[in-house]
Amino acid sequence: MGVLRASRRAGQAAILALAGLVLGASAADADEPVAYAVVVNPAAQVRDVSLGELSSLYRGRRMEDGDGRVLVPLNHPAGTAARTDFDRVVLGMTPDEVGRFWVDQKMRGASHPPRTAGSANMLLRFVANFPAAVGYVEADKVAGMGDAVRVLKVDGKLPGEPGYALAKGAP
Amino acid sequence: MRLRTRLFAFSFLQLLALGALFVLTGYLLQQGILPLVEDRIRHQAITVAEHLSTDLEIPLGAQDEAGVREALAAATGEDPDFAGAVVKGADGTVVAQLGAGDGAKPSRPVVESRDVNVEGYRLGTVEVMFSRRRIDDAQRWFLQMAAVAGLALAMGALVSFRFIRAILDPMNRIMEFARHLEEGHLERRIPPDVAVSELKALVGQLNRMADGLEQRDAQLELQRDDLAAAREAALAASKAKSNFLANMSHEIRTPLNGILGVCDLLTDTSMDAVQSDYLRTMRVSADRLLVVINDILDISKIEAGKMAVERVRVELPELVRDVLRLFAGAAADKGLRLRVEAEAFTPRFLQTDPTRLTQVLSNLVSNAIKFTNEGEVAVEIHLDNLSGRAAVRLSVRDEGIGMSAEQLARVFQPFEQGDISTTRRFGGTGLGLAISRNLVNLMGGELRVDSRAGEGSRFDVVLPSTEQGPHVDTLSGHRVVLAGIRSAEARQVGRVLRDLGAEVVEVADAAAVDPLLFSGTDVLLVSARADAGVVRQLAEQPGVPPLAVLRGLGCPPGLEARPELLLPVFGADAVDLVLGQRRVVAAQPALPRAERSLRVLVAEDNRINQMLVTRMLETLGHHVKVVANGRLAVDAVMAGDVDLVLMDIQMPEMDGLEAARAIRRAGQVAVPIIALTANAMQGDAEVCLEAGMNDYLTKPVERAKLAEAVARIGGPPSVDLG
Repeated sequence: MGVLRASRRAGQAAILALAGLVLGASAADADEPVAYAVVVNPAAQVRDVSLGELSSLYRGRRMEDGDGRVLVPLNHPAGTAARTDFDRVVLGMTPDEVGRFWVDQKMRGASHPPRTAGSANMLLRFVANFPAAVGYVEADKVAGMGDAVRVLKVDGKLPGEPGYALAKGAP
Repeated sequence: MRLRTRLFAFSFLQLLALGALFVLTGYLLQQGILPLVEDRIRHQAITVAEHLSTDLEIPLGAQDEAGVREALAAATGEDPDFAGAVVKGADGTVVAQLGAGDGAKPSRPVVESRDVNVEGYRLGTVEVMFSRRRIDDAQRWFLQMAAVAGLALAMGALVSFRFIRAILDPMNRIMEFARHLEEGHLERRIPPDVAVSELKALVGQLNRMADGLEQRDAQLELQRDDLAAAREAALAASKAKSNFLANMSHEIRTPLNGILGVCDLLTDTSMDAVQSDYLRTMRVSADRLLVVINDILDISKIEAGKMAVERVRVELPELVRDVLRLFAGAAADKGLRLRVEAEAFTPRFLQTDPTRLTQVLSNLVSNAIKFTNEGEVAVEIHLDNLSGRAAVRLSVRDEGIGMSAEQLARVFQPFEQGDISTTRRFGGTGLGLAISRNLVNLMGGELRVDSRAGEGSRFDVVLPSTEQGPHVDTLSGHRVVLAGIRSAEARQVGRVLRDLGAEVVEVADAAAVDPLLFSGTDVLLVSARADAGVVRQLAEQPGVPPLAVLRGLGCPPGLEARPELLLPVFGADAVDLVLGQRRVVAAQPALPRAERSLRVLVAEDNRINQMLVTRMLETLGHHVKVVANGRLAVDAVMAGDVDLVLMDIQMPEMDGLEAARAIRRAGQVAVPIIALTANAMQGDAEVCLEAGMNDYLTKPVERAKLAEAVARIGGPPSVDLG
């Protein structure tokens, strides 16, 4: 297991969000098998991640892998289904709330929002080429990448496994 | 300041101002505006590079060439200055390139390059190029504009210089033209090829003016030629008149000479009373004729400007007495008193022409006697001044018919007399006063007149005087006793002596002079009319002072030689007498026979003159030989035995001048030659002397003058030692 250092607050928020995802996932399990896979460059010394860690990372928290590399999170453009779903499940925020959040952060001068990749393909290629890149894509899109990217366990579970938090279209 | 300088300076300043404006604009553009533009371009380049360094993170990180290209295209957009961009990977290989390739690379582009980093991990670099084209364009545009403007300025300068020359050249031509005009080159014209129309008009006008001047000059020249011709003619006529006059004087004088000479000769023959009377009448008529001819000759000389006067030291008392002596008889004949008085301080000498002064005085006295029927004619001599300088005034006053104001105004005009009736009554040529005034003026003096009809006339001859007369105390301390002198004469001599400071004692009877008076008396003055016995008695008294005789003009000299004081009494004479510096007044001796008999050759063609001159010379005791022309005269002289030649000027075959020259040329320089000339014009004397003659006599020849000349020229009497 990798050691993920996250703030206590982020941890609490992640727990709350996780509860939501769990609820959502249980509903999605039944009829929608497709979920979002969290991918990382194979060189990154990280195997799994908690939903809370994921939330911290995507709220601008600086994190490193086991080799001390700074993790570089990649997002989808605002308004895409993947982004909306991710914001809702992982960050627990509507797209508007996310917008206000980053305006607020910017005014405080605290942190930058994650980089945005123009498409899932682009995201995957970036992750495949950049050593500490982290991203998420619909799970079925990972299949064609082979060993170029590694799918992380979220809270100990891979996509498709029961209880996997990042289901697509979860409420 | 010159117009050229001004115009050129004005033009030059304009060009300078415009040039300065351009330099200033260029400076502003280069230093102010273009850096701003360049800053903006660089800023744009920086902005684009910054954006790209972010935007390229994902595509570059994903190694997605298409994505990279897309990002490049999105970031650079439509910026007009964008020239190109190059994206290189971390290993330096070019991933993507946009815009200008190496070939179309703009010169001096603004280049900005940025690394593309993601969390310290370098993905590559992006390099953007921005063109300075717009700056370069602006510079090029400005330079082009400056070049065009410079060209325009140069053209402007050229045009204004040409304009200035177009004004100045005609002006210089006009100036040169005016100078030529001033120098009298009326034929000069200004070249009319003038560009400026106003100046062209001016030039045309000036040329027309010069045309007019030239025409008028030509006309004037014609008129001047006409006038010159007229003047030539007038001069020729005047010369003809002069020649005529000279000839006439000769023609008239020669026969007159004969008449007068024959009269002289006749006087020496025995005649009865009637014949003598006729002869006297003839002589008087001939004399009058001579006077008239002389007057006409004088006025001719004066009008011709040929009258000349001498300046010699003239003894005034002598001259006045000579004139008075001439007219004493005439005055006495008419029963007129002839009174003469001279101011005591009058100088004895005057620098003047004695002949001409005598002529003037004679004329005035003669007129005074002529126009006065009763009363007196007075001659008074006073000191006066002429324009502030010392002068002597000789006044001739009469109590005759006088003149009206109208007559006065014309009295000095030649050929004028009181009126026609005057001419008829008194005769005369009417030239006397005109001649007198001209003579006085020539002598440096003035002739003035004052007269009223019926109250007599007064003529003043005022002549400049350079010498001092006696003064108010020249005789102070001296005493003169006037013994038995008549009241009028005593008054005159007494006044003169007293004016000079002498003490005067009058004793009515010369026989009764108190011997007590003898002591302290310088002179005892008796009258020339006094009884000789009485005078001798007086002179023999013991202790008697020197005796002197006061003698009037009409009185003959006394038998005994005594100092004399002559009437009219002049101060200078009185001083000489009293101070003992008396002059011995020798009685004029009768015409003496020559002391040496000369052999005289007379060259004369006129028979009457031959006879006259021969007779005169013979009465003087000379031997005479007569020849009829110059050639014979030369022969006679060359033959020798001639002591003196009397040479007539106008003779047939060879005239006197030529003969004289021939004689001198032949080496006979010692024989004296005296010219006999009828030409009384000035200059004849010089001609005679130039021809080698020694002297000249004017015809008619008078005995006295002939004797004097012969004595003078013939040399002093030789002393016969044998």
